Amino acid sequence: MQHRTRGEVGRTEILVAVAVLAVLTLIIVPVIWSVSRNARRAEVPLNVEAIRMTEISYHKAFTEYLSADAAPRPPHAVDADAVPWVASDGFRRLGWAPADAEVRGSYSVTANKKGFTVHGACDVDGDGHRALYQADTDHEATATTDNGVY
Amino acid sequence: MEFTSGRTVSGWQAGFVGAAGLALALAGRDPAPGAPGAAVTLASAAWVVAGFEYERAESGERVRRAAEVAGRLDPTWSVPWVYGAMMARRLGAGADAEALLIAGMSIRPDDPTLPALLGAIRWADHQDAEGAARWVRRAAELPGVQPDPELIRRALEAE
Repeated sequence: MQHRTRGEVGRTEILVAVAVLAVLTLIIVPVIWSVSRNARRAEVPLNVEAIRMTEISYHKAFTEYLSADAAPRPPHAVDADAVPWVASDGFRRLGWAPADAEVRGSYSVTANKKGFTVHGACDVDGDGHRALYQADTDHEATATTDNGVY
Repeated sequence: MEFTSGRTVSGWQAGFVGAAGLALALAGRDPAPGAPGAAVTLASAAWVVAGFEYERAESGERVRRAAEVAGRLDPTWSVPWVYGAMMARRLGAGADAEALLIAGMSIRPDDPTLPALLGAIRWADHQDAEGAARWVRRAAELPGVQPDPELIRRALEAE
C-alpha cells in the first residue's frame, strides 16, 4: 500500500480542482460572451441617435432633412466583423461620422420634407439575425427587434 | 513559456496578455497587433465599467466618470468621450454628457467629432443656436477637416 507524503496531490484533489474549474468556466464564459456582445452592439443605438441629432441640427440650418444611403455597407451585408467607415453622399453632406474608424453596424436615413427616419442594423454575433434600431424626427433611437437579437 | 516566434515570456507576462485580450474583448475592441499596453488595457476595463453602468441605467454620472477614466488612460481613443456622452445623455444626464465632451476636447483637441456632437446636443436638447453654431464652427475649423463643398456653399447661402 502506497502512502502519500506530505505535500503530494492525489487524484481526487486533481479531479475536484478540474471539476471546480469546469463549473467556473461554464458560468464565466457565457457571461463574458454576453458582455462582449452587448458592448459591440451598443455602437448602433448610440450612432443612430447621433445621426438623429445631426439631422435636427441640419434642418435648423438648411430647413430640410437629408436622406443618406446605407453606409458603410448595406444592412443585409453586416456580420460580426467591424469594417472601416466609408460615408455615402448623404452622410458626407450631413457631415456626420462615427467616433470609431471602424463600425459593425449599417446606417441609413430616409427623409422627406416633413421628417426623417434613421435606420441602424448589426449582427455582431454573426448568427444571421440582425438587430435593428430606428429613430425619427420626434423619437429617440429604440430597438425594433427583440433584446436577445445581437 | 515559448511562443512560435521564439520569444520567451514569463507566466506573468502571458497572464497579462491574456487579461489584456479579455479586457479588450469585453470592451468590444478588436485586439491591436502585438500586446496592448497597460494603459490601453486599463482604459478598456474602465470602458467595460461604463458599459455596465449604462446597462444598469441608474446613473449617467457614473457612466461619465468611468468613460472619462477610459478616455484619459488612452488618449488616442475617442470612443469613451463620444459614446460615453451619448450614453449619459440617453440616461437623462445631459449636463454630464456635455461635461464629458468638453473634458474630451482637452485630451483630443484635434478630433472634430467631439465639438460637432456637442453642437448637435446644444441644439437638439436646448435649442441653443448660438452655442450649437460655436461648437460646430470649432469642429469645422480644425486642421484636416474637409467639410463637403456643397455644405459650405449652402451654409454661406443660409448666412
